[in-house]
Amino acid sequence: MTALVAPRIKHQVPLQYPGEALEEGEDAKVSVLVRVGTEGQVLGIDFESGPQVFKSAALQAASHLEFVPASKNGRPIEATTRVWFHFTPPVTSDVSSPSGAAMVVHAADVDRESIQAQTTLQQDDLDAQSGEGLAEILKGVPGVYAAPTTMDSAKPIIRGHQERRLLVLFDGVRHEGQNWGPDHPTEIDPFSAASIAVIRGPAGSRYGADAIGGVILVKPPPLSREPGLQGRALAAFESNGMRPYGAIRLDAVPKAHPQWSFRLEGNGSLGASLRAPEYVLGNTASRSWNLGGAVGYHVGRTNLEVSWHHNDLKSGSFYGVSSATPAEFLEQLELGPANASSWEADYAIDRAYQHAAHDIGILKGARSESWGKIEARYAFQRNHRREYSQVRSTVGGPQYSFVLRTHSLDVHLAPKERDLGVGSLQGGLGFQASFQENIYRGYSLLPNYRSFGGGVYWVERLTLRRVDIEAGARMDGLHRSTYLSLADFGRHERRETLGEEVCEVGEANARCPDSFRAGSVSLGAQLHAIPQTLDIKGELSSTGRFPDADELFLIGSAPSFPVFALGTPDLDAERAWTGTLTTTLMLGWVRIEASAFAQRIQDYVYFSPDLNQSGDPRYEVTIQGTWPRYTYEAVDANFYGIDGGVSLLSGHLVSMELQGGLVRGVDADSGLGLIGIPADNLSLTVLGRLPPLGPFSSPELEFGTQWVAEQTRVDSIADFAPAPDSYALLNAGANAQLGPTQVSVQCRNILNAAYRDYNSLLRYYADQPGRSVHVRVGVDF
Amino acid sequence: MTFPRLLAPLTLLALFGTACSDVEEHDDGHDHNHGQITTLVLKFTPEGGGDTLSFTWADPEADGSPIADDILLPDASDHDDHDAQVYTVDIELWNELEDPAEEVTPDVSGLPDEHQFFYTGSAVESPATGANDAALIIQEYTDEDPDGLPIGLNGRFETLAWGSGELVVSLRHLAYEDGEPTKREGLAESVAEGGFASIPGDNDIQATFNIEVE
Repeated sequence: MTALVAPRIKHQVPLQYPGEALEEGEDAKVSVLVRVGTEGQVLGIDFESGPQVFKSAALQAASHLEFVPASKNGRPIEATTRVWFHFTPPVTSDVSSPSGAAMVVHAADVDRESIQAQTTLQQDDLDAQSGEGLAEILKGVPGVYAAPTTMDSAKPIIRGHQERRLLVLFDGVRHEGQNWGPDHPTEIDPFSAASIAVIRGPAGSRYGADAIGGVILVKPPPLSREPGLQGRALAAFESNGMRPYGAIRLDAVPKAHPQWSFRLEGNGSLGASLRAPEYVLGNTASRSWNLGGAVGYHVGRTNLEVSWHHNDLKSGSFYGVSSATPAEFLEQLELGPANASSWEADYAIDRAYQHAAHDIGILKGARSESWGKIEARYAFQRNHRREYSQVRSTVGGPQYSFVLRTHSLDVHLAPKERDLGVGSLQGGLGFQASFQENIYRGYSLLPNYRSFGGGVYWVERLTLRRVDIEAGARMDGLHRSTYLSLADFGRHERRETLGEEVCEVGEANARCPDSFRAGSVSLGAQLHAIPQTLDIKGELSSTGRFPDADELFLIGSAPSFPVFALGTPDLDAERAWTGTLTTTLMLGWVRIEASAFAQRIQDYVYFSPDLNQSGDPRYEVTIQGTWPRYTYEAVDANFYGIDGGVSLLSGHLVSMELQGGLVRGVDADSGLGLIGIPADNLSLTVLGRLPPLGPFSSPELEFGTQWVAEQTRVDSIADFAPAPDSYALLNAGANAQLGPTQVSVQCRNILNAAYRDYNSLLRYYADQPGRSVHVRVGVDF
Repeated sequence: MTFPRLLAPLTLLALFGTACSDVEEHDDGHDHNHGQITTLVLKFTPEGGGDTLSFTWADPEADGSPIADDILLPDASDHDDHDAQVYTVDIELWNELEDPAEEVTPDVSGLPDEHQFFYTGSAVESPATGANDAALIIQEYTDEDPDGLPIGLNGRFETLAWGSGELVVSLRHLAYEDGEPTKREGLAESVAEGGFASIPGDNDIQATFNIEVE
């Protein structure tokens, strides 16, 4: 877990209003990206936005800035920060000798400036966990949890919300995958990111439907504009799973054609089956590779870029997962995996396994004009997920095959900041449109569909001397035609969940159309109560989410759970009402951030047992046994909680960080806890900085403990098994710099404790993986 | 090549690459349902002659709406007390999702090292139940795989008493793991001691019949 503190400017610097701008005499706000070193010095500057006429003056001023360096867990680190320069024309008639203009300059900590509770993981954080999946990396953020699958992968949870209520944006484009399955990890390659920002809580008025629980913004590094070849290389090894990992990125700008930029990047890993403390987790081996490239063209005020990324993961599913009746399922919980003694920690991937491939191509353009900036993105994504069940060896091919194709267009207009005298107003408006097709082939489970969706939005932020006020509104719509096979339509018809009055039955299929509309509004404010010391910010919002096709039409036995699952075709859009309050206190030796939230979701779609009038579960009798029937039911749900952290003695020889999260999710009618809500957790990290050791500079030692409580607030009828006991893990690590190379060694679960995690799918079958040593080496060139 | 010229073919590629839609087509599982089992037929042939009795457990749509015959087994008695009757039992398996229906029995008999039937329930005494004083029938395996391990596609059932109860027929798919067979000696006895959770594999079938010996 990390406590990241952004760089702060030590002193204001004089700013020269450029003579050539005097004729227009405009006010201007200019941003410059400044790379700040561990001593607070300026390592590099890059003009980011604003009228070109101010570029030279802004870059010159930025080069003279001095900073208090950024820090992570109290350790000074290199970081890039955005510095804003406000140019105001001098009050003089002598245009030939412009005086130093009145100006305001400050380094923007994006997370602090955000109205929402936001945490951004920067390049150093991502490098420190290179080779890990997205969810594993994000779980260091307060309020964010990882839900491990029965493979070597995990899914993120933000404030109790699983992936279907989260929005993941890659380079500004909504990531579109089969995110509804509990064992489908997000197909995002963290190596392709320079930063990953997590917004805890809804952001529907900007990003639209689905952003009820939170938003994950994955931002690739900007293409280089410096002529020559640059790059970075990472290598890592993980002892549990004997997993080697390698990654490389090359950026090139031809000296003869500096308007062109090129990037090529790729990485791969090969993992053997993992080991729990008492047995091998048979068939959890995995292979992944990622490849990406980009070409940029920039001239004057115009930037164009085309990029493509391929993500590929083949991952074995734990042998111990079997289609068992509820009674047998409970028996194996007591006995443990039946054949564990014969499993080997090898690299072979056997049935059952998944093979997911995700391609995303983005064409984006941006142009700065005198009135502001326009950005547009067209993207095409193809997500292909194949699931190979444990079938007779005479049967081939995948038993579940999903292809999801998505075209999307995003256009955003950002007018120039307007001066209102008492403050300034800045915002943006835009629209988003998408066309999506889902093609499913396999055992009876999910229908095909085709959908058109889109939204328009407008967000404005009023900045006063000590208060910022932000308001936004958005309207989204979705039209979806679902195509059920006649066999599946017949199954629904016999259950009276669908009929010819809502679906057009043809010779090949039944088409069931649906339309949804939802508006989102938000109003938030930030008070700099004591400048640079105490900030208080809060937001009220309302946003919607459209039900997914599986929630409406799913029918079949779930491959991972002992249930027969049924969709509910008449579900409405969810409506979330949310309030958040975040306080940040920064003193010389302590930094405290706490964020509280409360949320009411009307028509929350809840996957739960179908109960009869007596309150007992209904069962489905299949040839494989008798299974409880689970349906998607609309309930009113309440979520509330608090998350944050305390950082002590940051920057001193010894520093500490305490971080934790608490979230509650209950069915408002019954008062019972919802399943899948993370247990309370707390982590403590102590960091000691050492003097240089031989060739190693900036050595440091890190010790940490992570405690996770037992989840006691859960409806025992709804869940498949009792919640596991609480657990505590001990971790340790060492980092140092060897010339230009960053070296780190970390050991997780030092005591090799056997435990099960409440949010892990694996907890129904086996213990989590045990002790693991991670060695990482990284170098920029 | 200027950038706009570079973009034009890429855009066309993206559009034409998805122009032909397969959303409205359905294979109705033809490529994927192969080998699924929807129907189990138990054929009881009395030793010493007599008609073969067939009893079916079927969920032809595989949607949880099964039809199961009640098994009525006459004993050998022609008076007011029970006389044991021995039956030879053969099993047939069908996939009625296919049209015409596909017989799956050869898929199972052709992979004897991956399969074993187990017979349990209140009315049964078998290697998978251990001693059962309330049993109405007793089951023995009469077939075996090349390693000498039981399969259960064929068996010998003998009536023990009059009465009614349940017969649960389970087919366990015992797939290879790490290249090694998971089917081994004593699996039925393990089921008797620790239930199905104590042995490897998945249930291809777990069908319950009502049975009456008269």
